[in-house]
Amino acid sequence: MAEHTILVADDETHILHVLKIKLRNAGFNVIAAENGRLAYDLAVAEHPDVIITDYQMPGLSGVELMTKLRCDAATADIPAVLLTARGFSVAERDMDACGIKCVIDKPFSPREVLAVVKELLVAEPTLVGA
Amino acid sequence: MLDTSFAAWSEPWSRLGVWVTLWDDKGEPVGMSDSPPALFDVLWRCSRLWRHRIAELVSQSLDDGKCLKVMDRDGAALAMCVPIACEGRPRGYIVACGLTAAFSGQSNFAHFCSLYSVDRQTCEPMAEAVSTHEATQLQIYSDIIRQQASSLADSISADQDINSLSSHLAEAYEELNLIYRVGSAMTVSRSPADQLKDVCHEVLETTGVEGVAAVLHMSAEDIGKPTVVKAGKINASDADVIRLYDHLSRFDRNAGRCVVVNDVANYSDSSNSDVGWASQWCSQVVSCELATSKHSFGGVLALNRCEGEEFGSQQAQLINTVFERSSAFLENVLLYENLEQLFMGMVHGLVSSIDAKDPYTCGHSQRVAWFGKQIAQACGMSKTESQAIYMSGLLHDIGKIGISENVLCKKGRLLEEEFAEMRRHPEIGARILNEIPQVNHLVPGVLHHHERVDGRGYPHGLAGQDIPMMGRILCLADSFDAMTTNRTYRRALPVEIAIGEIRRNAGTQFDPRLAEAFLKLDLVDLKQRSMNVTTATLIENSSHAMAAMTEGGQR
Repeated sequence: MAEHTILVADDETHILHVLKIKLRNAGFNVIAAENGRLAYDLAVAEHPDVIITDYQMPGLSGVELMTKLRCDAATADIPAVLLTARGFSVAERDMDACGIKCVIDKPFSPREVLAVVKELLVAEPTLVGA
Repeated sequence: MLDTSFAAWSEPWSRLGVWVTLWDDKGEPVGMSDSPPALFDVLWRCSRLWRHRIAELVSQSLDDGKCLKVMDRDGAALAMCVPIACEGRPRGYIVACGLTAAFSGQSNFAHFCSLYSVDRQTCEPMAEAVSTHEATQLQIYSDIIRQQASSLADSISADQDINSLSSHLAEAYEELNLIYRVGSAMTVSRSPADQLKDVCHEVLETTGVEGVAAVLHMSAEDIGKPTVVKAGKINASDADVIRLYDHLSRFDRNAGRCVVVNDVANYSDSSNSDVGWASQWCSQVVSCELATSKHSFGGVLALNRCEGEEFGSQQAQLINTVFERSSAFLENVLLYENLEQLFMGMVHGLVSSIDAKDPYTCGHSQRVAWFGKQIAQACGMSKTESQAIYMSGLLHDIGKIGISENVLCKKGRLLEEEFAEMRRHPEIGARILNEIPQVNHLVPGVLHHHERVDGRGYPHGLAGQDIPMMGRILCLADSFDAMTTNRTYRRALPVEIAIGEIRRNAGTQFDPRLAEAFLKLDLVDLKQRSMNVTTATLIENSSHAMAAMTEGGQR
């Protein structure tokens, strides 16, 4: 029974720490990236089961990251959760186009993020054992 | 954590010919280098004595916590054990081993192999590949290894700190998120009890408790019979909840306005009052007041932390913060209600003073307003619309303030020019109200309540559907009241006669549809009830008055 891998991307490192501790305590393997570029490289290398990404990151934004990943068959199906500052919204069209299943406002409830991740994993059983 | 960096820093030591291994805090080996010097690898795997001596070294170090340097009897191999100490407590050990000059030489080597029961021939080439060191060199190496152990310890400490901070940060995020959610859901137009129930549910989820209950009294009159709102699992009646809150609210308060009790069965405060009677359904509780600096609205109880945890100051703090905001919101609701009542009181006062000029019209505006509301409701109009008609009815004759008393209170018949003067009151009233944006939407009723559907009314002679609905309704209400009350020029008509008059004039003076709806009501009863309409009861019915005003004014 392989454990699931979650990729977390955010330019604010305290958010990475919070998500790391919450997800690791729940039994997930967590890989973290401080910007979109690094996140892309990690995603391609490790094929995570779920991606949690910030929207507003310097360089590659969360949406751009997911759009890029859609271009490659190996990473095209990874579901994503988008974290955004309050007041920013993403059109539903754009969300569907790049695999973003859920948008959560910051400051987020870590409990809620964990619940969403678990739901996404249940919905995609074919991704077990990355 | 220990072992991830081990591979990195043990490799250079191997190249130097020093064998380093990592042991946990229980004296078990956890890390062997990936590429140890081959000789040491063989010794470790094949020599029981070797293993025994190293293990002994570690356990001695475990016992007395010191770093030991033990020379094996012949001095061919030197080993040291360095504890990795975080805050004085060893988290693991590094064991390092090097060979000295006493190892070199055929006879020494032969002796070494027989001592440790390893095959001399197999080991000979390996021995040649391993460097030996001077004692002084090994001394320096030991210092370096001690430094490395210290850095490792610091790094472990730092990681622990980060984890701890991250956990606390995660908790803080939950709180912040809760406060955002709760704050944005509060609107003055929903009932306080409903809002409070939502807040209780949110708190329930975020703090991991079994139940949250609120004891609410909006005004001083309700203190005797407060409303109880529950969320989650609470196996107690409302009366019990109220009783428990009462008890706790009289306890000493040490953490602001919160009382935390983690063992309800055995708790008693300094005044020796206890809450053990509640222990069947409550094992732990946090109690918090719902109050601002000016008003008290009751309090909140959070019951029974899930998963056997206890309530700490952090949960108490969170609960306090969230309900502090609720209290501020409740105060707003109270102030808003007060404002509504004040406003209605002022309007009634104003209107009464105008009506009072003529003893025959005393109470007229209140009754017209009330009749108007009944007609509106009979036509199926919304609460807001009915309220607007009511307000417009109250103010419909306000223009009379601009009519001279000679005309208003004249006992005999009015002359033509006096009639003309009287007919100005709708326009005067409209002019007054047009100055006030919030009541602009009430002007149609004031301006047009003397229009007739046949176009022969005043001031503008509008006909049929051109007359705003408010005007048509108030025309009917105004006439009905005028007919059924005493006037300077005639006595009150009986209701049956008034009914006949309305029927006769439906289609000419009155809107026929409205007249039909009005005549379906029990008008005798309505007239009777209207005589009992006092200012006090009307003020009581003032809720939604403000909403009707502001919503209407914005249209």
